[in-house]
Amino acid sequence: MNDLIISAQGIEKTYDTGAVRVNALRGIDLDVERGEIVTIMGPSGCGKTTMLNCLSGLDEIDAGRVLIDGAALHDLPDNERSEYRARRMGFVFQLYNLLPVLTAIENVEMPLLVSGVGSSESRKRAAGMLEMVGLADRADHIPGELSGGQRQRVTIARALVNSPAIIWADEPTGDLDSETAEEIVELILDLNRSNGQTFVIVTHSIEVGRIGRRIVKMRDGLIEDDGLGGAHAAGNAGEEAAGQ
Amino acid sequence: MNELFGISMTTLMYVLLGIALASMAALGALAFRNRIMLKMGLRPIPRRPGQTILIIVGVMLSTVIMAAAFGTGDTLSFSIRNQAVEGLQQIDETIAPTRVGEGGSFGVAYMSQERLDEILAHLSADENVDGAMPHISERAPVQNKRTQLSEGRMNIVALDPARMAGFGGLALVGGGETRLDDLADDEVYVSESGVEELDARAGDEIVVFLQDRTETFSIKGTLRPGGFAGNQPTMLMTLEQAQALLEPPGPVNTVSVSNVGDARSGADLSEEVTKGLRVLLNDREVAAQLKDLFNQEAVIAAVNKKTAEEGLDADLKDRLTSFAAELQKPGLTDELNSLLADEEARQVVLDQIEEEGIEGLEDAFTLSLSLSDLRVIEIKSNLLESADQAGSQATSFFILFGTFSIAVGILLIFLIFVMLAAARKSEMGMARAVGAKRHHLMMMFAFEGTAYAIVSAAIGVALGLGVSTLMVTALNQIFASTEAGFTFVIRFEPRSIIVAYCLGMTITFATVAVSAYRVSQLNIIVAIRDLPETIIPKIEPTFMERLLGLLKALVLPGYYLFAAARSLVQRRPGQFGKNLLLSVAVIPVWFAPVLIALLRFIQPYLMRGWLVFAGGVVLTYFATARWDSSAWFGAGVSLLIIGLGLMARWGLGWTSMRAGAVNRLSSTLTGGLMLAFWALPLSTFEPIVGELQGGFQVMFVSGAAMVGAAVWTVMYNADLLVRILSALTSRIGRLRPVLVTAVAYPMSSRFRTGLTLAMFALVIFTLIVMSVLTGTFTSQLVEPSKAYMGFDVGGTVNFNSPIGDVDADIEAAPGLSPSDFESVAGFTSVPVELRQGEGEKGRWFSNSGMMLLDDAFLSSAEIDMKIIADGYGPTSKDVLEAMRADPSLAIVGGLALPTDAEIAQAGDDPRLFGDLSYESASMAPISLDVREPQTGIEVSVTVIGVFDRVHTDAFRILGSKSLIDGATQFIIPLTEYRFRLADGVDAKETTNALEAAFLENGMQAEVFAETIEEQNAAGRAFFRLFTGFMALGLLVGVAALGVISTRAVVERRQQIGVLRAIGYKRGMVALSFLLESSFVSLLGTVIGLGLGLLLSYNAVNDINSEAAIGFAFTIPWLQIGVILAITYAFSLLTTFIPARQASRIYPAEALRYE
Repeated sequence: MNDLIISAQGIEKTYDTGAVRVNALRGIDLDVERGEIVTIMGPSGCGKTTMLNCLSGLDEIDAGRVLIDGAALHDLPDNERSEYRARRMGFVFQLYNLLPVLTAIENVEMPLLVSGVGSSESRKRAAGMLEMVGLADRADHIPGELSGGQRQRVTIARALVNSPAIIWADEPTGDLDSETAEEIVELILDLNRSNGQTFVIVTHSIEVGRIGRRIVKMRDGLIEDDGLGGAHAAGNAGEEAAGQ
Repeated sequence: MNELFGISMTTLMYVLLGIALASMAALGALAFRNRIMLKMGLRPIPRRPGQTILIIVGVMLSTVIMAAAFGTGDTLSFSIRNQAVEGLQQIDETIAPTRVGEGGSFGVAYMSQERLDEILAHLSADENVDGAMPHISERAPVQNKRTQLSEGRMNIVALDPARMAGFGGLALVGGGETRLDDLADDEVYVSESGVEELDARAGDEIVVFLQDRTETFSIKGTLRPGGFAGNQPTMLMTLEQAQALLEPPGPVNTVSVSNVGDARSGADLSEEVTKGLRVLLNDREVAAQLKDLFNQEAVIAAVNKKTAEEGLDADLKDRLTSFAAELQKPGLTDELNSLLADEEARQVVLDQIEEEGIEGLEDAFTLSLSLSDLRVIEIKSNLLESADQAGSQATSFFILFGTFSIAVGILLIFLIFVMLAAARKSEMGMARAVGAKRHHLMMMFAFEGTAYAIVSAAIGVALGLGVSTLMVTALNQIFASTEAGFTFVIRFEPRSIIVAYCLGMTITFATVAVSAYRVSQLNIIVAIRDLPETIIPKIEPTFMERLLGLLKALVLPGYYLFAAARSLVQRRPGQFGKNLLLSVAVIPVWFAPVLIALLRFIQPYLMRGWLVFAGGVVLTYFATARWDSSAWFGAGVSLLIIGLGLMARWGLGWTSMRAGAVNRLSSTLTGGLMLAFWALPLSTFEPIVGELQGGFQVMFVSGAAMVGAAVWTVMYNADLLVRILSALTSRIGRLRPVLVTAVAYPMSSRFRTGLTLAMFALVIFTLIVMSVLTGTFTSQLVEPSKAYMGFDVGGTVNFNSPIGDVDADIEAAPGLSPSDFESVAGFTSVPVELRQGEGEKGRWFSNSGMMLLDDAFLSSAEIDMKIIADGYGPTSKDVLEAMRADPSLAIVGGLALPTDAEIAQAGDDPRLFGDLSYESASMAPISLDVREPQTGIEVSVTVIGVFDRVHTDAFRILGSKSLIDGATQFIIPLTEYRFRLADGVDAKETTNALEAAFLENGMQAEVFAETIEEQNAAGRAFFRLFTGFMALGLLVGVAALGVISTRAVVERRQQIGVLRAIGYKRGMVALSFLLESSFVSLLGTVIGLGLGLLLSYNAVNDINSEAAIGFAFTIPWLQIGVILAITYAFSLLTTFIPARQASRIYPAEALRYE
């Protein structure tokens, strides 16, 4: 473990809705190596999405420290953190979360434009990315005109277009039928193999869980198993977690 | 205020109240039966207080505008009424001589003792009268000995102390009342304004200047204004004192009458009292002769025709109707006798007779002059009537001008409910999925909307009255600066408040009903999955279905009756009762279902365009060939264009063209043609369709149509706009992603953006038109010396104390020297009637008057001649010289002549000067008979020229004074003077010196430059106030942007999270929202500015060609710049708050939001 891309120690996060106080994360320690595919599994409400949000800097943390490529993410001011996200991270969400008013290609090129890449260069790279996910012929369609699988491919293309070091995925196949989910899993594995990017994937799905070379199991805001027992154990853990 | 657009306010109130209460009752009943829907409808109100406030504010704005207009109208009516009542107090009628006095002067005439006794005896017998006061009213210059201050025109009012009963006492300033009989011979009372002018106090000695002597009085006390003390500077004394002072030719010159009742209610008896007096005072023989003259079919038909005219004052209509009826009765009825002396009614009848060309009635005019030596004036009820008219006109004016703002307000209400519906879409889809019917959704929505309507209309009325208070305060300041001495008293009638409230609520309610209907039509799946509505194709009902629907509507009561009978057979008493009730209840609103079914029946043909097109052809034909109405012509052509667009869409639909392209093409065709049609001035079409009639309102319609068409066209070509913007911004680097989203969002919800754009553009449009028209009409400053024929200062003196030798007096006066003046000219104005043509055949036209000029005037005036008759030119000097040499020559002002356009419009109507128009290039001398209506003195003149409308007296006719002097046995005194000052002489100082020097003549002098400046200042202030009122609409537009932005933040919360996740910084999120609203506001500004300038350009050209005036089209860029900058700043500000809120959301939090 000498090339850590993510290093988190003692992460705590509490939500206070006024009526209820929820300790979503109660001291999380997690290290991820560059190029790893880590899947995070656990029952509903155990804090998987919260952990992903906190590690990726989408949410604030109450205690602890997150180092991404050695940089303390939460110490950065909001603007720099945003910039960091734009250049180094990609996101895939369960509900696709594309901008409904933009076409597929406009959605994909958005992170490039945000990071200051020129218009024509952005358009070229976005087109290439769409071709890679097999949607070159759908580039000018808005999300409303695409199927669920196609939308998720666009989301993945958007997440990858900037060649980010880390891709965070929250239930990337949660809203898809099994056949389409399979395609998406293959796509992720392909991309990981060819580009060596790090994937952190929150999932309920056993199939998705299996692609992780390492499976992290969570329960009640704590990491139950950090998955360093090896790929063999991971498969079982994934099955267990998904069964709950 | 009693009327709005000619509809009685009371009727309006009952109708609106009826509608509002009926809708409330219906909704109440529905709510009672569907309590769960009521609950669901009202639930969001307390749950989202922020949104509720936003909605209420948005919904109330159109009510604010209406309430402000009503409040201002009420205040105007009340203030003028109030002034009439306060000014006259108990005086309801006055009786004064019709013609000049025995002495043959133009001065005040007196009545004989015999006549007076007759009147007093009659009045004391009239039970409607509780007071009759014979009095003298004269004017004279007065000076305070102590302060040396003077008043050139002090009213001298002398009363009979024994007859004060019925008129109340004389109220003293500082409290208490006083009587006239305790005045010593050398004591008088002075009114408050008189005391102010003289800076006098009790005990001061004042000198009254009479023609040949002076008299000194001491002031006993100061009287409060009103009643006999009036509002002008007035001096009160007893009749005895006045008779000694003035030595008048008769006992009194006026009798004032007080009716039973207080100052207000007394006027109600005026008609009765006046009738009695007129019957008493009329010469019965003359009246009988007049009746014989008028009692012929042609006259009665003419009167009836006049009565049928639209827009005729209701009271006058009654009198004319009665006139026609009484004429046909045997003998001379009192009613007719009285009506013959009613000058207004009589004049209308005489005019109508002239217009109809009924012959043999030439004597009627002369006869009517000798009907009576005294005239009865219903002074108070006349004033009250004009007060009401002024109030109604003001309200109509404000409402008319506020129409745009109100329209924008209605669009805003619609927009708010469209957005509410969008927000509730999936919730309502769910409700439908679990069994709620369409009408349940409508109800739910209507309950919520009505709750907003009830509250916001109330707040709107309160705020509207607040706004009108502000406007009235501003008006008071404007009037204060013009020395008009009039103060508006804020007053709101409960009736107007009810009308404003009900109007506001009804409009909101109707809008809610329309949007509720729209919402209820949603498809369940589309709603739940939030898909675009176009995904489900609409299925057109078949011909048979539509026909059945129409038939059912046509026999609706019968249908329910049948259903009732069936229920009876089936023994379902509840259903029977319900159906029976419905069969009766539906009758008053039967037309509505028939209309709806009819529309549904023809809908397919309408949508294919040919029926609309055909309707357009028919309407255009009638508008041009029958009605000559520009409004209908516009409507007809618009229908033609819409029909054409629909036909194009239908036709192209059969080709292989994509649906999007078909829509774009047909909609652009419709919008473009519509824009082009309305943008062209109406005069463009006149060569084809002839002259069309249209009021100022047409301008509003064309404005709204232009803006609508422009927005329509822009919205259907929005993608092109986006592409252009996209190409333009491709090099802006980091701003680009922000720009992409800022444009993409508004373009994706076109209906909403189109509505907002239309609102914004309309508001900007209105303000631009207002500003340009204000700029154009107030920047045309006429040079004072030009307007006043080359003179700098004017002065008026008392008729009774004219100046003998003005030049000698100037030489003798301290502070004045003949060298101060380049010229001193004099003239006298007399009312005249003019006749052109041979002997009896010509018709007498009343005219604004004749200026009888002295030689000094003729030799020194600088008059711009527009047309000079052959042989009298070529210069203006030549014309005036000719007039001096030959007193029978005259010239006429340009405003007394019609323009070419007016002649074309009037057709063959009889008029003076034949076909001579203000724009004619040449003229032949025209002979006219001139008659002074009071004395009947008649002379002949030859008009040899027309002078420019730039002069202030351009509505009059100018002649030589020696002409009249030669025709009478006496010399008419000069009453008006004009002075041209030498270089370097101070006008103000000279004016003061002139007033002091000619104090005994009661000279009131003015500096013309100041007069014009005052008029302009008041005009500008009024226009500004008006622009302020129009700017209320701006509030609506800005509010709309705020509402949209706030909604957008809520709707797009999750997307904001995504943007933040992919690297949008906070600033970028906020900027995206600001740019988005800027996109709408700037686009709206461009449309509004462009069309506003275009329309005002057309309007100025129109006015110029109609009135033959050369107003230069002036764009007040600075004012427009300020307006636009403020608008933009406010629109940014309203967006800034939600934008900031959006940027503060944590990405993770936003992503969690559903």
